[in-house]
Amino acid sequence: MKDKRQQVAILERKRGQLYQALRENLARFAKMGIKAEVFIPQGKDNTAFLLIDENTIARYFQRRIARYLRQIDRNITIKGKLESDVLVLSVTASITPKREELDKVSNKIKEELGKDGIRTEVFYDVKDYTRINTLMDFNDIVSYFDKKVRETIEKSRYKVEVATYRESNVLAIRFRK
Amino acid sequence: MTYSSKITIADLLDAVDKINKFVKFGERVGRIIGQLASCGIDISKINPYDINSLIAMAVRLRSQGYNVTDVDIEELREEFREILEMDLDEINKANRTIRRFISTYKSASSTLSVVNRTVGAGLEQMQALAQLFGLKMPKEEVEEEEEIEELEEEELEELKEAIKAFRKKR
Repeated sequence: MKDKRQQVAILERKRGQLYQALRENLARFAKMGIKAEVFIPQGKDNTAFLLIDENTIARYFQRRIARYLRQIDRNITIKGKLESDVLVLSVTASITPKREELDKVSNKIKEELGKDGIRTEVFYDVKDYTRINTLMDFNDIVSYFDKKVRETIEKSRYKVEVATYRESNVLAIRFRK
Repeated sequence: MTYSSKITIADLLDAVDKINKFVKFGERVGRIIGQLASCGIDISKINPYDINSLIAMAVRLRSQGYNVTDVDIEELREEFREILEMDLDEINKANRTIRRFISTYKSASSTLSVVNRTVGAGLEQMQALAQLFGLKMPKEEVEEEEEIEELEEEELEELKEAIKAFRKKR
């Protein structure tokens, strides 16, 4: 594989809109705190990929959820795992939060992720409020990123096709002209 | 402060400070003139070196219920000594410094966006370029990266049922 800078330079010269679409989405992901890798298959002038490690995606949602849970307790620890098509995030609080606070925060989490079309469930053991579990549908997460990329492309009216799919623990977004 | 062809950021800050003080002084003077005008006194007709003129003004103010000591000229003089001693040319020079900075700033901003559009410079390059002009670029909103600990098998085991139920709801 050629050096990344060289690859991007080649794209810039040869592929116009494809390059712009790739660049704008790369910047959009960077703003979300997500590092995406650029991959350009050799010998294919009309295709490029953005590759995002699934752990990076898990961390992104971890941050979004932690933002709410830190309203209850600043000192939380989060563990997570992608169990096939379900992203599991388990939060442990250092204090026992009030049931009402937990209900309020879990509703907010569900509401926020629901707006993005991501089915989410937040639950906790009624005997032990210190452990809060969140389950997220990873297929919805893939659709969410696909939608975000398409939005950018439609806004700029690029004639570029997009496909988003999972491949070996990586979220691949394919751009084709 | 010298206003040579070379303008430094220090010159600019100095100029902004000078103009700020001058404007503040102007506002205070304007308020006093306004107050006097509301008492029927035309400041342009007062001769500060003619005692009769000043007495006439004081009498007019007293008849309107104002105390002439309300306007503490000495305090004002002390507060704005720097401005009073300043040659008005200095204010004009300060204005010119700020205008030159604004014009350079506009042209630098426009150059930066042209560079970004044409060569697709990265954020780091843009920041380096912006620094040359003494400008600040917005930082990329990269959130603090937290390491995510992996759930242990037994912890996951406890959630197996919940995960199963979650999948079924799809």
